[in-house]
Amino acid sequence: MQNRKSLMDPWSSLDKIFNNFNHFIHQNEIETGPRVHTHKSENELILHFELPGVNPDKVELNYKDDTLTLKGEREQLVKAKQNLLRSERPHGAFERSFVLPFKIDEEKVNAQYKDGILTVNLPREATQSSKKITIQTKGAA
Amino acid sequence: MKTKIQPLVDIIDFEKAFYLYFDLPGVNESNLDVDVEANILSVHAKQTIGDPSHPETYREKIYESRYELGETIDVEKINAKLDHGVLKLDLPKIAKKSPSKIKIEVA
Repeated sequence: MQNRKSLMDPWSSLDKIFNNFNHFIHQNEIETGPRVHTHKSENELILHFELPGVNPDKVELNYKDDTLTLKGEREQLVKAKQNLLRSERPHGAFERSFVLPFKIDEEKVNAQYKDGILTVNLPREATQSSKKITIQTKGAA
Repeated sequence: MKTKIQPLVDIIDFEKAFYLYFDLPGVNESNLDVDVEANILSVHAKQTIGDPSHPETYREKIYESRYELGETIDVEKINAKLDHGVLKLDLPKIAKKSPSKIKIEVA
C-alpha cells in the first residue's frame, strides 16, 4: 500500500522559496493505487494505468479465473541525506485487481508502457458466443 | 471544458539545488511547457490517453502548476527532463558570493 506522509503542510519556510498558489491533493489517488482509465467495446477491454516513473520490469500483470491483477512498486526518487520538503508522489508497493467482464484471449493480450502509462489490451475470446438457454416449464402455470 | 488539475510533486532541497519531480503520466515532450517569467515557474502539460483516431477511447486532461521562486534560485540554469511521465526539474541555487571588501578612499 502507499506510504504517505501527513497531508498537512508544515513547510512554512518552503513557502518563501516555492510559493504555491492553489495546492491541493487528490486523496483518492493515494488510497486506491494507480488511477486507471477503462474502455470496453464488444470485443475488447482496454485499460490505461497511470504509472509515472515506474520501472516496467517491476510491474507484474497476472490473469487468472477471470481476474486481472496488477502488482508493482513505485520508487521514491529521494536519495539518502536529501531533505524532502514536500512528498506527494505515491511510492511503495501497489496492487489492483479487476474482474473482467468476459473471457479473454490470453494469446492476444498486449501490454505497453509509454510516457508513464501502461496500456493493456484484453481481446475477448473469439469462440465465446452467447448461448440462449431455454427455460423449461414444469407443471401447470 | 477540460479538467485542469495540479500534478503531484516531490520537492527536495539538497546542497546546491532544489529538485522538483512532477507526476505527469501520459504527457510527452510536445505537450509540455515549462517556463519562468517574472520569477514565476509554470508547468503546463496535456495528458493524452488512448488513440485520437478512435474518439471513444481517447481522453485529454490538463496539468497546471505555478510556483513563485525565491531569489536564491538561479533561473538561467534551470534544467528540465521528462522521464517516463515524470518531469524532473533541477533548480540550482545561486552560489553565495564571498563578501567583498570595499576600499575606502581617503579624500
